[in-house]
Amino acid sequence: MSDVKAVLVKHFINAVDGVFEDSLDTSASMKDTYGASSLDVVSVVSGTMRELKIKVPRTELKNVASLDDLVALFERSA
Amino acid sequence: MLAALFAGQGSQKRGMGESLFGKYKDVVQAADDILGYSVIDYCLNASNERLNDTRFAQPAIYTVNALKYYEFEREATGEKPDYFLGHSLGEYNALLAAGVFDFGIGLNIVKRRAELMSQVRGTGMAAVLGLSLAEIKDVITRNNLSDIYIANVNTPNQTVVAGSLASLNSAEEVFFDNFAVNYVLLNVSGAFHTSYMDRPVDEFETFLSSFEFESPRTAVISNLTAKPYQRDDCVRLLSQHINSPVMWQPSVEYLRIQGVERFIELSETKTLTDMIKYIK
Repeated sequence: MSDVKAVLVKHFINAVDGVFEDSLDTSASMKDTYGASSLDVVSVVSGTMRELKIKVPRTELKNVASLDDLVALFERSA
Repeated sequence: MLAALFAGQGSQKRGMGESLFGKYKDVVQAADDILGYSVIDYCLNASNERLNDTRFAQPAIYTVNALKYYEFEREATGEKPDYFLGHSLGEYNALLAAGVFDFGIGLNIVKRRAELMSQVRGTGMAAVLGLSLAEIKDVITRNNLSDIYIANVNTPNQTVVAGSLASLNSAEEVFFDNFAVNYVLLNVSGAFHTSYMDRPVDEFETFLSSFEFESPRTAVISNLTAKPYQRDDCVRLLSQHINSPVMWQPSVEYLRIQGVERFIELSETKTLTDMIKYIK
């Protein structure tokens, strides 16, 4: 797993109840499949931005549904 | 221990209260008599513009929240909340639930509050997500955002700021440059909980002084102080409420220190419950 993905997954598991790394489907919708709220997604993005020191363009955040989408966004913005 | 929460403006939705109006006809009638229009018609049919107009939204949210509380009381299997906490306007529902005033008095006060608050124009509020309160204050200071004020201290990752519409628009880029994750302009018609509301405070205080308040039967946490209400403080706490920040996060922290582990939100949305998760 890339660094970006590992960090995002870590923050996601911390933020959302009942999510475990071995069964996590990073292509699934964070909100629809895992019940993540908007604040959960903020927590994941904020934590990752600070840890990796990458700023992501917020206009693109609204197109993000899955962790894989976030990985792609962060990798583009690095 | 259990705390019951009541949301404020922003929680309104078309159709709110629909399942409850029929069960509480007396309350609805009382509301209609006080307001001079049909609450049911407003809640079910209001245009977006009217739904977000504080003059109408506040009394409607107060009424619907009250019905939700009455329903909760009726259905509760013996367990009563140990604390009540409301977010902004929701504080009135917390006080109502604690017996500080009755439904009619509360609605009269909310109606006046809404009228006074609606007089301030050209201002608004925005939620800044992903930055701590200290970071936001730092951004404001370093960038001379002199017209941006802290309005709600919500969670470690969410603060609501307020100011003139022009200032809010130009602050957006500044916050994003400083690692904000999101910046959401809120559907409210004024810069509530800031010094933009200074002018209505005195008049509101005079109005509040004309009412008799009871001591809360159950503790109500004040948005202003993040501590329990005392009866003698009602006028001050409610009048200064409108031009002071909502200290939501410190209020929840206070509750957690007192031993509250469970929270139940009696509102149209689950925004408060969502926020609670992030407050340790």
